[in-house]
Amino acid sequence: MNALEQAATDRFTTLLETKRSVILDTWVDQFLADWEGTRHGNLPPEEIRAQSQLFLDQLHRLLQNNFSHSWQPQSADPIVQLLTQLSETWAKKGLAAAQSTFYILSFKRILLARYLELESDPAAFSAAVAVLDLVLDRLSLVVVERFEMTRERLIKQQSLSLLELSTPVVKIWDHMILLPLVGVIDTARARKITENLLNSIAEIEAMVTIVDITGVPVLDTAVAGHLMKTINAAQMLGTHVILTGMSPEGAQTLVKLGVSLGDITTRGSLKAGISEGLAALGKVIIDGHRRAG
Amino acid sequence: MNDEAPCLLDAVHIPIQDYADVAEAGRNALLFAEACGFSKVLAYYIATAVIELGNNIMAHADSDGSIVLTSQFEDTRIVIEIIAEDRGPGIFDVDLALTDGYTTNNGLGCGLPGVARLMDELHIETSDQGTRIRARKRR
Repeated sequence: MNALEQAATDRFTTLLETKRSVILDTWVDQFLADWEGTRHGNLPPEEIRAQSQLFLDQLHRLLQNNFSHSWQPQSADPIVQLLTQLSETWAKKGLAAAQSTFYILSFKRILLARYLELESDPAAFSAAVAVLDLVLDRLSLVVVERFEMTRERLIKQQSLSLLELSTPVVKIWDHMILLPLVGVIDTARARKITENLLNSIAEIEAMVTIVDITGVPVLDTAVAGHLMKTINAAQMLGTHVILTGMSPEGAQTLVKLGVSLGDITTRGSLKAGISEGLAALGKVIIDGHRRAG
Repeated sequence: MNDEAPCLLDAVHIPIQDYADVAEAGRNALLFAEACGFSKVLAYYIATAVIELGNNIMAHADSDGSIVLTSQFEDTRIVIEIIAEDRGPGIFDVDLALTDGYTTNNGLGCGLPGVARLMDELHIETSDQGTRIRARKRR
């Protein structure tokens, strides 16, 4: 660090001591004002204030202790720990990434404005800007990085739980089960679906299995291939499989693709599939009202 | 050009690096074709072709490629063109790849020949530097 930068660092340290409360107030107020009308989440202003106070303390300590160009945020630094924790909380609460970045960047502006009140020499000022860039830009990168990581982890968790949720096997009558398929079927899902279905067939001793594909957006050869494998495996367990809910477009596309469904029973609607299944079980639906009348 | 034409839409460009990208491409293709005034069945054909080509990029080209959808005029008809490009090892034998039932990855073997039937035109340029497939469908 050259002499000017060292002087600027010392001046910032002094500013953080003497003007601490003014800086804190302006910062927090500006931050909250910027949020007005956007999603506040359930972040109480007192919490932001307390965190900002801690940030000022940590920054003060950082600048005081032989701060130099070689400084890099380390995960063990208290100031980095503070920011990662803050960023993680905000990401989970659904704040925008821009808001958490603005938090650090607005602080930079406030601190520089205070600095200008004391020192207006251009050379000294540009040294001050350089020092602040050095520390705060790196810190804002820490915030962004952690923010992204947290979001990515959330998305991964959600897609995993979606995978679990989206393959329910429903028992709709004694020895009759329904597998409603919704959404895109990739290899991972197809495996999961087959596993769930075969277990349920064995457990319920299903004689009829209805596979409903109303919710499958596009039937390409990969999906058709997965579907056939699942159905073949089910048939090996001795269940009668009925495929329902194929759209007219889906049927025409499969024919064009040259995919044949072989000897699988198909019915247009789920309703037709259920009545077919009941018939196969030897059940008859009787209209109670008509018989009474 | 013709301002009233419903198909003067921006080209759709989707990088394919993931099976989720393929699904995204299929969804976009369906919307794009319908916005261009294609019937439901034709839009479904185009979306399926896009998904087949996307799955091919994933399976054979080390997940490195892209799909671009454009709409054009041909005489007075609207044409949707799919361009699927990758930097994979190329198709060894194009005629064989277009044969029903031929597969190198345990699939059904009707993806590429299926695309040929779903679309009006199919042009394949391939080398060991990669593959570029151009498929067109007229409204």
